[in-house]
Amino acid sequence: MTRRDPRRRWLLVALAVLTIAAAVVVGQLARRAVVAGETDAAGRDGVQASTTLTPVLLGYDWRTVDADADRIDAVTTGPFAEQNRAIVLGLVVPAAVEGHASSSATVSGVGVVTATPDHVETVVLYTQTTTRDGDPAPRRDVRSARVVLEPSPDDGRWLVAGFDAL
Amino acid sequence: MISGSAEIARGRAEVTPSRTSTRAVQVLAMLLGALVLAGTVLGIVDGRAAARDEDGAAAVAAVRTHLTALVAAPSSPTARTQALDGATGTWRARLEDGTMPAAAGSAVVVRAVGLESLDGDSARVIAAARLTDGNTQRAWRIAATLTRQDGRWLVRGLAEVP
Repeated sequence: MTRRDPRRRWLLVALAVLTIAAAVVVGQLARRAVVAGETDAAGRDGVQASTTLTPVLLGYDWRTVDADADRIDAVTTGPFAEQNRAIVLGLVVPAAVEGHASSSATVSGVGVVTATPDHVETVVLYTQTTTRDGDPAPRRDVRSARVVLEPSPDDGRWLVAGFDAL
Repeated sequence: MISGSAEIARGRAEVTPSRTSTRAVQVLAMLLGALVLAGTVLGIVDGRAAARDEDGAAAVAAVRTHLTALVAAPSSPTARTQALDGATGTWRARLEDGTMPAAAGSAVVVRAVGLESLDGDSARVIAAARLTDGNTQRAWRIAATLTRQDGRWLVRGLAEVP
């Protein structure tokens, strides 16, 4: 019967081709939808991480500076972690101990510059307050920074992968 | 008896491929229908995501352009027109009244602009810039609210973040 009805065979072939083509298109659209969802989530998580991690990154007290250095180290990742560790241990800790200095930061605004599922760049507006022996009053500086965040390879937590003062 | 069985077998041999192909056509048609439906839904989702990305980029670009025009406005009529063109509502009224955030001869370098929130036709954008005013240079930190009008993102509020 089938052999005698070529139209049915062509219909079958056409449907098979269309189905394969549709499956490919749907697959690509599904992938794009997943990436778009992950990017949205990354942007939200990045803002949250910038808001909470910037004060950690910039906060220390000369009385607890070793623990603070560990805390700072724990919120960084990638090559930036090594660079920042060297700066903290080589410059920040000695200066803090010597000058009895402390620093804290409060974030007043965060915006997403770019976002992908595993890399978020934010602009952070913050105020840094520092105190040290000899200063008549705490020094308050309004600052901005470009803060880059990436998920930790260990547990996926968003960590600071770059910090550039603007 | 044998002859009858042979007839039935021959009949089955002729009917079975037909039934099989009909069934294959039905299955493929159903599968194609489901894929078209899924593709339509995913296409709408993809279109919305792309539109949202474009909206965010357009809002950020509008603030960058507005800040540059705003600082150049006191010494450039063209920049003043451009600044007014990019503003709306009370912010535009303030600019029309002559309230400019920078003095003549000032210059601005916009270092970074980021999207804080985007909700339909409203957006909030954060910008970090350096403002040179005469011999002094200072950080200029801006929070701008925008609204979409006729497909364009216009600044309806702009404030320096202290």
